[in-house]
Amino acid sequence: MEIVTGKSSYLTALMVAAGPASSAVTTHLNIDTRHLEEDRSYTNQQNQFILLASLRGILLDCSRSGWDGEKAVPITGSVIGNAIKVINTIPFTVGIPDISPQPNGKIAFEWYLAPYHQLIISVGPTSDVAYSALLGSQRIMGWKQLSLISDLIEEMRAKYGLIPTIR
Amino acid sequence: MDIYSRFLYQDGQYKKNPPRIKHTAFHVVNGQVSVYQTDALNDPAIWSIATSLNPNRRVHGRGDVTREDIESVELNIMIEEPPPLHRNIVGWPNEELQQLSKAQELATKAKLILA
Repeated sequence: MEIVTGKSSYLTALMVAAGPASSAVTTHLNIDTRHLEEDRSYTNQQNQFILLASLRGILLDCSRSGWDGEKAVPITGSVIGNAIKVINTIPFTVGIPDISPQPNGKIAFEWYLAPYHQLIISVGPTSDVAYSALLGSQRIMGWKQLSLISDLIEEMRAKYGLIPTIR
Repeated sequence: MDIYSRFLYQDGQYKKNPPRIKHTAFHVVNGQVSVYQTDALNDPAIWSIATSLNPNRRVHGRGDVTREDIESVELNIMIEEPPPLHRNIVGWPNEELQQLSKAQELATKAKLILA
């Protein structure tokens, strides 16, 4: 098993977004952020590696009809492709989800914090992504375009706390 | 108390830590989810049903729900024999999103029992 590390632009992007103050602080404190950048790059790639490995397992196990021993719809290449798009959207600053195949041929990304604090994002072959969350007594659900999935993840993280932030 | 067991034959239907059932275990097929009423049976008898249904597959566990759990998410239980003790969870909405939400909630109420 090989995990390839490389220079990440995430921290750089964050510092640019934070503006001059960020550079001033790091210069003043004489902080060498290069190792931090590499650590975060490693974490990000490690998370992606875990998720892609899970996805590969799903592709191997669930690409034929009836993979569940009943009437499951096969997980197709287009579903895997859309799931990879979601994986590439998940920022390294949030906890990684569980990935499961659904008998309807879709793939579920699940962030589970507690019985009534959980989120499912269900990805299929089309650009429509379903999501369903339990937040206490609230039921939050809807559809989102795949191209806007990063907005959904951020909303669920920041507004509802349904996706844990990793510090 | 009426207890209904959903048998688990795949890793992706449950998590060991923390122990819980995933929504995928209660995925609707043809408007229903197949379960067995198991409150009158002991564990060996329950597992023997699970094995007899799919002799070539390993039984990982089961998710137990009560009638109250099912009715609390506005679903119903329907007797459908044979085989003996077979039931279906019915009353699922037609819309996929509503099904996902109900399966999520029912899975949250289910108790995981590993084989």
